[in-house]
Amino acid sequence: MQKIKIVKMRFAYTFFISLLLFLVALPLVVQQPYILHVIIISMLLAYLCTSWSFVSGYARQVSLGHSVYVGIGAYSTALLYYHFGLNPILGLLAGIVSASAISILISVPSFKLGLRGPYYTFSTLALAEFFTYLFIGLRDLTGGELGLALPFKNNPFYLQFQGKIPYYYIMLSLLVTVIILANRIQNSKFGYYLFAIRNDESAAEACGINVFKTKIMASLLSAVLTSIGGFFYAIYYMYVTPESVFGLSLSFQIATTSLIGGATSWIGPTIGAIVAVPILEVTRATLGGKFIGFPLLFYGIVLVVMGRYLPGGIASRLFRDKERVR
Amino acid sequence: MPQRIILQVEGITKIFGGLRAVDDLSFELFENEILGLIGPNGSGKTTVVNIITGFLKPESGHVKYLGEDITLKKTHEIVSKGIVRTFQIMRPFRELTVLGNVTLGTLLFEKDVQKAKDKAIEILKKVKLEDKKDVLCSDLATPDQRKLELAKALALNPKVLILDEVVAGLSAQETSMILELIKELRDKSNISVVIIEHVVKAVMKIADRIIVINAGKKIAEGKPKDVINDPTVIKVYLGEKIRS
Repeated sequence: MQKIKIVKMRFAYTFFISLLLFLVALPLVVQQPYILHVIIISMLLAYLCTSWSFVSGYARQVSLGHSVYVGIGAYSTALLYYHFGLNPILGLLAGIVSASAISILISVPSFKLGLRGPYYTFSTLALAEFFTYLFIGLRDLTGGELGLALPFKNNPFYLQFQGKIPYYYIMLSLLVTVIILANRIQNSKFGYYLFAIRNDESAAEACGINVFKTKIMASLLSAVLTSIGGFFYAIYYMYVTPESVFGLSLSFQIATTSLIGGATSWIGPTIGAIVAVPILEVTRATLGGKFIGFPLLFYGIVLVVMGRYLPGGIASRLFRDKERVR
Repeated sequence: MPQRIILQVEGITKIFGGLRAVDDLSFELFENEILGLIGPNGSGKTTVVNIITGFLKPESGHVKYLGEDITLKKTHEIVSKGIVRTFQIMRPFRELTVLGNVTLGTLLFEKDVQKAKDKAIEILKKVKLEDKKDVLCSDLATPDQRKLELAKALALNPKVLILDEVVAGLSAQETSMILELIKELRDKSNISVVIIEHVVKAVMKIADRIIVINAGKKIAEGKPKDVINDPTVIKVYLGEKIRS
């Protein structure tokens, strides 16, 4: 038994290193912008899903409002650049600060009041909806529903580049950082504590774990990392609308993709994104506008099948952790 | 020999709806003592444990640990001070293996995961659960889950160990194994133990002193031999005289 599990763990590392080498080398061979674009958005989604999993996977405080932090990161960058011509790096910092503040504002009262399960989930969902409409409403500042198109000045100091490759490597380094962080956390005291909370909050308290503090830390970490993803969204697309970054569909996509891949594994969310994004992109390219609801249908079917046969996600079957099942 | 009081419960009362689950109950636990807490079903034993460990806040009264009032402290703070409990209804972390569960305990005073695992294995050896260390907790049979509960509690480096029905459902052999272990711990590690049991015989064997509660009130207290001969105790709890 034990031998099999260790082999599986090694397999996870082998998989990660091969994936890394593949992604580093790919632009040397493939230069079609469309393919690079698909890979960039897969990596962005993998990044966001991994960030989400810290609080919603490891600790099972399921958030369906993580687009809030994507939106805050994206809009902090976009607004400061658009209105004041500030460097996106400053926008990134502003995004991190604002995301932390919002995360504290939502998680402290919810966890203090002991909101658990669906109640916490719905409060995060409501928060995301609130921000969507807030940013639509602040028309003078945000351009309303039409959003903001950021002027392109081709200035590398403003992280503006010709072509996709520089963005590709920025995103790749973000993704690798977050995956390594996830791996470190999973094998740390903090990771164990999150896992205890996921299983049984009262029993976790009885193990001397400060459940409240641990949950706050996880939310904060998750929010900050997610807002960095939002920052990347803004510098990559150079165009943000409230619906695209704050909207519920992004929140749902982050949650479902993580679950498909395995939200309690450091590599799981990445696998989810690798599986989901290319399928969605290919179907969108081939079907065109004929089946607009297809992505939702796809996610629906996959989730039902996964829930029945593989509740821990793909990673749970492929690489099982030694001390944990899912 | 006068001993130091380690834990003092002063007049605690807990009301659930119209029921006084614990009614003005006071007792103390001396250092290095094994105290038995017995009483019929629904007499408030587990509620007392929940109050001492901060899971419930009493309507009135205080719990003092080495003179410090811990009544309103949070569970994790109380545990960090060294007051550790087991659960009557076992609550292992189901998605973790036996080793993972105990490691969660040893991590409280050990930052390094690998060292915590080594410590956890030492504890598993003590409760003779080492061969099952890679078994998933949801696959564990009841006797092993009881042992795991004990191992988890020991992992937290307790000074006061509160055992809530720790031998329920165990065979005679396993029961005496666990009781021996508890005695040994008390002798070697200077732990004070509160043992809550249905199996009166089990408590009789190892307790230095016994408190009997009924309907949340203390009805008897004393040496095991005296307590089982107390007429009130026999009436409300034992029904008949126990031959020992």
